[in-house]
Amino acid sequence: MDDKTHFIPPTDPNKTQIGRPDFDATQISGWADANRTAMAGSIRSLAVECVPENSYALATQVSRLHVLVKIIASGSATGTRMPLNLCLILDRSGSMEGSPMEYMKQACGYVVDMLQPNDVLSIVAFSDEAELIMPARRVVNKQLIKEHINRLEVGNTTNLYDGIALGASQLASVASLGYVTRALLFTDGEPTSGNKDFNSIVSQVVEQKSRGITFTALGFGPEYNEELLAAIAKRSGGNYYYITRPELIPEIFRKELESVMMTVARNVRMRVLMSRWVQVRQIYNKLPAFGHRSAEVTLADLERGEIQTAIVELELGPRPGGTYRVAKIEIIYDDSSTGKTETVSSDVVINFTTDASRIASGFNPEVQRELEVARASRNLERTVMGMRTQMISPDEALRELEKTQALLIQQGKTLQAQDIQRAIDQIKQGAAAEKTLIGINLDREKVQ
Amino acid sequence: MTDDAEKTIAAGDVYSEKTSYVGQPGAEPTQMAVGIECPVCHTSNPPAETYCMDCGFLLTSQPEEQGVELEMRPPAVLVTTDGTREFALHVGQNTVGRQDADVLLTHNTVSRKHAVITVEDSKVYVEDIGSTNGTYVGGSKLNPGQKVELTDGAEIVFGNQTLILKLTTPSEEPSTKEETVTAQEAPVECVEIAPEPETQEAEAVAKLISEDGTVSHTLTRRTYSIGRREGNDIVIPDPYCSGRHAELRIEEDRMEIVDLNSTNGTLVNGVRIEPNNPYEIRIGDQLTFGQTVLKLEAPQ
Repeated sequence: MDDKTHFIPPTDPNKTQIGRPDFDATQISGWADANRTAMAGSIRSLAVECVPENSYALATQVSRLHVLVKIIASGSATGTRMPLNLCLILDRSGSMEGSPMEYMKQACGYVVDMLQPNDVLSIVAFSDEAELIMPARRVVNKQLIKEHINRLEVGNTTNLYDGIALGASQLASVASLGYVTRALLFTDGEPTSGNKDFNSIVSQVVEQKSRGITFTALGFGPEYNEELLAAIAKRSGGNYYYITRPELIPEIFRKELESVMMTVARNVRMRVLMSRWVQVRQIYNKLPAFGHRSAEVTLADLERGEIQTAIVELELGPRPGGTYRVAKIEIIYDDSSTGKTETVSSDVVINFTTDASRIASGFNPEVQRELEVARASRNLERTVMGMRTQMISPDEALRELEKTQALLIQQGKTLQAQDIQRAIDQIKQGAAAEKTLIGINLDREKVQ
Repeated sequence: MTDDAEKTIAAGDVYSEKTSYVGQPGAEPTQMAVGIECPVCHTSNPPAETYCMDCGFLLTSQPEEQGVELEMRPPAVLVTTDGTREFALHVGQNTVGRQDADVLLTHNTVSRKHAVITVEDSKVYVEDIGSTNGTYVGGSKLNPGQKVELTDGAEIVFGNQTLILKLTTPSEEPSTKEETVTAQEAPVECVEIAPEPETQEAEAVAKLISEDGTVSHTLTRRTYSIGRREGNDIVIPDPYCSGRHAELRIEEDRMEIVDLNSTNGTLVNGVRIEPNNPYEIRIGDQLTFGQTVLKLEAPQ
């Protein structure tokens, strides 16, 4: 689509014109829907809860306050799941020759078997260029789809950029309303043809995300660029997987599809609305977009029973003592059970006092613990970057990882601690562990 | 805790009305007369509000009476170019960086310990403390350890984050002009950052021209601001171009473009680049700002 056709005629010469009126219109109707749903009181998939580090703050001077935000997806199944609009974007470059190709075909076969006739599937394969194996259509004749898949053959180079573009265009050809939209991007190598630039590829994903397309990045083998794949998944709210051996490909595809089928909230954004005399200093491990008295970040899609956390640090200015709502936190998302854009919110209410002893006794241990984990997450990121750029030695990396692991065990994050153990083992065997480490998410937790 | 859903949403809508509450909301003559006036900030609130829409005060309560010495205005603040963020500076040393800093800029072009801003005797100085991507004042890069005095309105760039210094004028001395004059006489240990002499013949590195040839700029080694508004180094009279749209950096061995979070984005060869991230460009590249397409060419 040519962007120029979307431009609206200029009105006020002093204001920048927004280039995408269609997109805006969708946003507005989303808001209207949110209002209507709220009044009808239907059951939404997400709930949000804010826990301030301290319910007191000093009235007389500038103070800083961490707020733990918990986004909780309801655990109960709401009957039938939303149909999927799924696109498989598959790498058929030369390095896929042999068993990887065979296992990938088998994995795709599983995906087809798991889908239902009201799901929509499209398949794209890329090598020197991207080609459409199957345009978006309902999964009716499974045998025929598998025959398409089985005809795939290995090619030469890896044109990831064009693969993503073609896959996204297939997903976009289906009206997004009423579907869980997801691209499964599978690759085993660095982009070697087409647009190979890291930033261009990530920007393309970010742009597709704004159209409601989420990417799951599945990296296979030792050669792919984990920083790129992790960025694709993170920036679009999808999952990232590192598949070490070809025989694991079908299992990981199955696992991811199950996760997608349990998606209850998509296009999740958190918006912090600040009252007067309040600034957002940071949102841990996120890059907020700041507006007038607001800060907004993108969160990953949530599946049933999942809890995501975020930590916001506020700076509070002095004021007359009393009770204030310093911020309101909104979670805006597409709800898979109501089929609409919903907003849930929670107030951060703080007591401003001149009595310093109240503050000393008012700290919330839960927020302190989560803060430790957020700092560990930041350290982990730094360790991975240090390993990638060889700025830190394997020994130093091991020490850092063991520290992080001990902290995670202490905080009850056993699954993530196990992932770190895997990375520790890899380093001890002299193998690269970055691909494992970059996928560890400390701010997402599945509650069974 | 989500309380009454309807109420919450209503408050949200009021919040999102951005421009109404800047400055002194109480003084707005157009606001509804019926409602609850906030005892703290005097904003008039609709009767249904629990918390003041502006300062968040719990409207059913009363503020504590004992005379709390309210905030002395900070001696200076740093604001982002779009005005959405404000960093108050205090007297003494203010650290600037990506982690645990007073002026916290969580962007990956900013070093963890990037710079120090010192406020003393109503003067403000900045010093780069060995950052990776450097600190720029008025377009000139600071050498590490070089302490530079900043004047009101100075543009300081940390990595790719631009902040503008706003000095708080002491209310008891309205003669700000006098102060500016003395400020220009820099102390001996400080280096005055002078604007680039225009007379000096700088070497042309590239040319930025429009397809029809109406826009043509010869580029030398420096940083150019690009936007619709007058005052940019390269002004693009296109309503789809943001007031401050992008920054073009021409360096020794590298040229890069940074989209300053413009409304319609910056495209390089038809591909939209990520905002606030330097993107390397080369001779022959096509740059799109709004609806205007400019080509980067070799000089002559």
